[in-house]
Amino acid sequence: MGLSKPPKDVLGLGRHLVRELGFEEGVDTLGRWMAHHLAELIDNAENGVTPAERSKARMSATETILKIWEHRASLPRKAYPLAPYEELLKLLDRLRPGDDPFRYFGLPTERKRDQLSADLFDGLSRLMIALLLMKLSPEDESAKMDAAAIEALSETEQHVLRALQQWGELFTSTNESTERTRKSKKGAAAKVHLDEAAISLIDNITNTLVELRSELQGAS
Amino acid sequence: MPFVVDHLPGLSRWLVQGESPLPALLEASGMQGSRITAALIEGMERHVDVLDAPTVYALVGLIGRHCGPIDTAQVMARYGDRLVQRIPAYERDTWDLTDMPTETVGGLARFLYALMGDIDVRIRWRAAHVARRLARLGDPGVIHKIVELYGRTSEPSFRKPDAPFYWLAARLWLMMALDRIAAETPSAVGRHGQWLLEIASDNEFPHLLVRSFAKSAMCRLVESRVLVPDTTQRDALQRANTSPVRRKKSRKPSRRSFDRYRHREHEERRFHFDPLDTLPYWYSGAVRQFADLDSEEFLNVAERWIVDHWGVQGEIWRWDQESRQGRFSDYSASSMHSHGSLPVLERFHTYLEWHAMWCAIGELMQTRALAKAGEDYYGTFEHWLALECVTSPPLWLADFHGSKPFEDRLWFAPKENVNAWVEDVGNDDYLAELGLVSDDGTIVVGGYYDTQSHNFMLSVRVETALVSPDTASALVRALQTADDSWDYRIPPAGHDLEIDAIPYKLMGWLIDVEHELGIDERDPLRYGVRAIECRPSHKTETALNLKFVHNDQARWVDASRWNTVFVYEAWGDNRGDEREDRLRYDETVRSSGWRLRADKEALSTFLNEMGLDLIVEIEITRRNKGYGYSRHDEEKTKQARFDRVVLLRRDGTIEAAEGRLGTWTASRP
Repeated sequence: MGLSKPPKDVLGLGRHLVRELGFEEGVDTLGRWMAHHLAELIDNAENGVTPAERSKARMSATETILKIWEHRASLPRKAYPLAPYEELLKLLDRLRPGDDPFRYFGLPTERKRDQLSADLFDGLSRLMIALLLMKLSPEDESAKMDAAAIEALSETEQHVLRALQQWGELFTSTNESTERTRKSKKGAAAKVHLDEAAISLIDNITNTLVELRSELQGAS
Repeated sequence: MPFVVDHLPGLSRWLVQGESPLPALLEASGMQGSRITAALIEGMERHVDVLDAPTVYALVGLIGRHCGPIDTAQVMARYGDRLVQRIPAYERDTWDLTDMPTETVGGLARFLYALMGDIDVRIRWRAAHVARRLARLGDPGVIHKIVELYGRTSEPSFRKPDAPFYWLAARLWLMMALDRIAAETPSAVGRHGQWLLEIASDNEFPHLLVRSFAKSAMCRLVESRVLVPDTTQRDALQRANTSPVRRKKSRKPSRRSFDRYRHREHEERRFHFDPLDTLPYWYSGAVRQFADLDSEEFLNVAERWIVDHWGVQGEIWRWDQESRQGRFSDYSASSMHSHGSLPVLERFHTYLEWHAMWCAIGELMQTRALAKAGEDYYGTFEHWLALECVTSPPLWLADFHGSKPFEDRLWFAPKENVNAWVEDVGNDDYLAELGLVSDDGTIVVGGYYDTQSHNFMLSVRVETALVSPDTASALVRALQTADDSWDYRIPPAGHDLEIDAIPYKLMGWLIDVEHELGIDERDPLRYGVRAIECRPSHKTETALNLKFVHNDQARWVDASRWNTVFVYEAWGDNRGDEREDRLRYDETVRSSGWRLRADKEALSTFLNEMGLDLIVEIEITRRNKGYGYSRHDEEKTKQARFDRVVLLRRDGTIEAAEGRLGTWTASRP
């Protein structure tokens, strides 16, 4: 994965990586290895004895940080800002409109069954997205991520991240049902509680299933 | 002689201590043996009141030297008869003297062959080792005689006469011994090549394992050019122990195995097969080797071998029918064969069931299709059969057992207070585990061993991998500061934990060899040693141009210069047939384990060529109790695990998280 332009704060990005890759407990050898290595480089760049040493160390640190950042999509833990959305992105990829297997309705006699099947596919897909969004913990939300890390993403990644953040904002967990969100609900009908949305989807799916069952029984 | 008679007490005064002048005096007298004997007897008679018992026995021994053979025989006959009469009649063996071999070689051969058919598998292995060593000693006469015994199905003289002789076992262990001898000392068995070929092709006695070892032995004779087969023999060897029927895809598994709990024995069944272990584990595995064989059909054939071919009838599975009950009182050895294992002591019915299985497979594969496996070797009939033979052919597991290294900690208990010793691990201890205190030019690059007695235990694990030099220090710090050393692993080659993400490279160069033990698992002379547990990876072998050789020790040598690059050493003090509850109180220090050592010079060259350093993890665990300590001791038990990660740099330095520790390329005092 390349960079559209070099990030401004490379050492800031390095500090983000050290923090996310982790010195703490865990069994992720590569993450811990990177963290120790980057910490060493940043320390040299910031605390070198002479300006020449610091300059040389800064170059070395910058080079390594950018090299690691090129492979950010495969970085362990949450060093990559889009990592928390990995499952969601996979699902979205599978749920593109063109992937609906019932998009071409068959014979007129099967049309209703196909329509119900398409509704079911759509409903279940949405339900899965809602459930995956529910799995995201507050600290997974990219809004709280390091600015240097987000700034270092490519334009496309930043665009995807913004879209996902907006999507996340669309749903609000009931656990965080603060005064502010309740007030904003009045003003913005589009904001929905995640679990309410999931329940609504389940109701629709249940109805579709009942209809589909009748349709199949009638055909046999 | 009158002088000897008169002065016998004085002359024989220091006879017991071997310092009497009497023997030399008698020799110098030049008298006939009969006169000397008569004089000594007369002297003993006259002075019997002053001679003590040890001197009397020593004088009898002296008489024995001068006594004629006829007199000796008469005395022995009378004395022997007296001894026999003292044995209760019901405990006396009666021997058919016409069945006794009259020469040593024949007697030894009979004895060894009888032991190969003992109910104790460990004794069979010992007998097989004896045969093998006789061949190595250049004395194949006994081997030739044993081969002549192959047809025996009874052994009334060298085994309990009223108990069945396990002749099927004797055949198998003989064939295993011959296979090993054919690889090791082919000239000792070369003359039996044609006979081995006939055994390997024998459809009248189609014992799959016996045929397999016979075929293997013959192949080794051909490989070593001790035997040059003609075209007919070559064709026969290729066909031996194979199925002429084209393999087929296996059908669905209904009635293709035996259910441990739902199996119902047919009323007409003439032999009662063990439904708990024999059927669900041994026999189900055998049935699955065929494409479409019904489990009951297999049982019919196995039953025919036991009842019709071998003439065994009755409820032999019952304990009161077991004719060697006394032999099963050894609680250190199991007669069970649970979950498909092999028993150490074989009950008669277990012995029959196991060998009937091999004969049934051999018979059925002549007419029924074997199951067709995929392209992979694993899952094939050949792979299954190989798992039932020796673990690492042509070697036996016992071949890997070497002498215990001469290092104090493998031989002696800690000298200081054990509780203090448990917590006192320093850099020297780690470096000692790498073998850096010795000056043999090698370094330990992999290993695991434990040493213990009743009041201490030491276990050590060493693992190594290649690492990118620029980032290696960071990895050492990352690993050394991990909460628990079991949170990470220095990976072997090909392992999921290898890392190759520039600039972070952590690559295995050795392989962890995983293997299931074969029939030689029960060999007591392997002393707990398994086959090679760790070896250079294929890539390492190629890079260093290595060739594996085994001549009393497993080694990898440089194929062009023939100098040793890696040495595998394995040792063990436990025969594996001792009761653990006895070991718990045993003060003897016992050690077992293995190590892979690399030549330092070759390693240095290798690292420089690869442009990588070697990361080493040394884990030391110490405890103030040995073996399986009891719950009673739990409170007093103290155990500590220490872990050190170091780098062996290409320039010869040893580096730890806190800095340099020394050098590994230079010899240390």
